[in-house]
Amino acid sequence: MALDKLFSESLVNRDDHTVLGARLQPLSLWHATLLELIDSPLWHGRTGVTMTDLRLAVAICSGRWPEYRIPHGWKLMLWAVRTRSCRLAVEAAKFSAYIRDFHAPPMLWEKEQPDRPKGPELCPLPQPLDVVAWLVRHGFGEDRSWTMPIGLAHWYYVAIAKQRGAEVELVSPNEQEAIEQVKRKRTMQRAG
Amino acid sequence: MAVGTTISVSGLVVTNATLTGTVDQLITESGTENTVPPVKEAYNSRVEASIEGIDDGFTASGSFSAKGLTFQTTSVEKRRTLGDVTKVSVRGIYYPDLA
Repeated sequence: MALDKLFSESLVNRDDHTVLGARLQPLSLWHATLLELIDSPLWHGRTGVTMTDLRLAVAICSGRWPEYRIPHGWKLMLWAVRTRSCRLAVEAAKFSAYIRDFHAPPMLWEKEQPDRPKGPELCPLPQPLDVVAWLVRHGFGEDRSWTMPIGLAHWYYVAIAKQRGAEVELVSPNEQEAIEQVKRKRTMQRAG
Repeated sequence: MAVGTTISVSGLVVTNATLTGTVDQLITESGTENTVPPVKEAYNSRVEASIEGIDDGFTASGSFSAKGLTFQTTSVEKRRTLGDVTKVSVRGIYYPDLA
């Protein structure tokens, strides 16, 4: 059986991601939490990214757990001067490539239940904390859980849940190919 | 049907499909010994289809076609994943004797 491409992607990552002259750490749940905290448009894949957004995201992802470095004052000015020749579009694209390289969680099928009555929703845990707590509970250290590559953390999370009997249905490699086929067809139809 | 033949269903990119043919022999015993009617035999042949695929315009209705046969739909289940993608699992039955 072919190895899942997303799983391979979560295992094999580049270690030379550099944006705005800063070397980025492997993208982890720690970085994801901080990017969520500042509602980073780069993390959410939104348009209208500014140089300030990019600097913040790069500062976060070049730091290590449990610290975070948000440059300000003269350090920020110095960084701005050093990177004044950098083009936003190019650097933002490099940051997006960095996210894609690390953020390859398993794709899951969720059963449609249109007739299910909706009850009051429980307050959900922040998703990264949910994954970290699960990994710590199953023997990973706190440090390792926060800092391992984010895609790998999600794969461990799903694998352990599956082994413990959770009804988890992964999108198979065969189905991933079929999805790509449908997407290509839709793109061609839109293009006319 | 030969192993490896392609099954297509309108509106689905098929990822998994199984067709199973069965024949039940139905025997009706005579009511009382030495009386009519004698033993009767009948055959209830049917083909069951279980097909999974990625939704590409599939419309759930009372029937669907595969391998040139029209199956009465017995169940349709849908699952979703990221990117507004839906997987459809459809089951159906075809009775050759009624065709």
